[in-house]
Amino acid sequence: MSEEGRIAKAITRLIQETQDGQLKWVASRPSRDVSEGRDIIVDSVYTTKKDKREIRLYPYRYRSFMEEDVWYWEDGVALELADQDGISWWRFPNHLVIRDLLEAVQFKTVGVDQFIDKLLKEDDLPF
Amino acid sequence: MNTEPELLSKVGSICSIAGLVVTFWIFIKLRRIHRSFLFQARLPDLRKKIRGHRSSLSRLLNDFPNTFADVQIELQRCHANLQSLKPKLGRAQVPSVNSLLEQIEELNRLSALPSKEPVQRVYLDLVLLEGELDNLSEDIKWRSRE
Repeated sequence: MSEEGRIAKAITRLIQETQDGQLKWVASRPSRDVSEGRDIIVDSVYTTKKDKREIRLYPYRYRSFMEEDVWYWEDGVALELADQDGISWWRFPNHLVIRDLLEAVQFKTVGVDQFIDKLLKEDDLPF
Repeated sequence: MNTEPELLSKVGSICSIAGLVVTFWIFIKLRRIHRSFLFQARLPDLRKKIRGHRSSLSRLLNDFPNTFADVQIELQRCHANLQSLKPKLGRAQVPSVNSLLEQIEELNRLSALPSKEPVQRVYLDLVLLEGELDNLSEDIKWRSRE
């Protein structure tokens, strides 16, 4: 299997464990080191631990320049793995499944399914 | 010693056999060009569709089994697009598509609610197929430059 395939498979495993509730993610405001030295805007960071390693996931926005003063916003999602001391971070290569992981993480951390279940259980629904 | 008519007859026979070989070679080449043209024309659209199925399945799996009915519909749509993709592919990608088609057919035969795992396996195989299609698309770009 190619390196890209191995990485896609690993990220897919993270998605499955998130969907199954085995991997618990915590949402927080970004620390300074997330965007340090990079021209990006990060609003929230999701972190979890697996095999004693910290993993963090965050959506970000950056300016994409067409000309010197003409630019537009683009967005991306970064998935990073910390070393054992939690000091240096390695970023996974950009892959579309990282967006699927973000959606799974947001679904779980926001508690969408519980919210919908609660709404549907309310007795005074007119239909 | 050969007489002139015999010699001409032999040359004619050799030429007709050579003509047959050339005709066969041209037939194979034309088929390849036709397949390659069809593939190049349809690949971006089919890749987009596979990407859409992969993304939808992922979203639906977040709330599985509540979304089981939607998963089944998505899998049927995906099955139709994979069948359309299969004849346009090279030999290397066909086993991946066949495996996906079989998995989806098996899931569609189930009347009871399956566990999440077989659907997650389909999702993973779609991710891997998407990677193969991306590589193939890059190869085609380079081949067309040669």
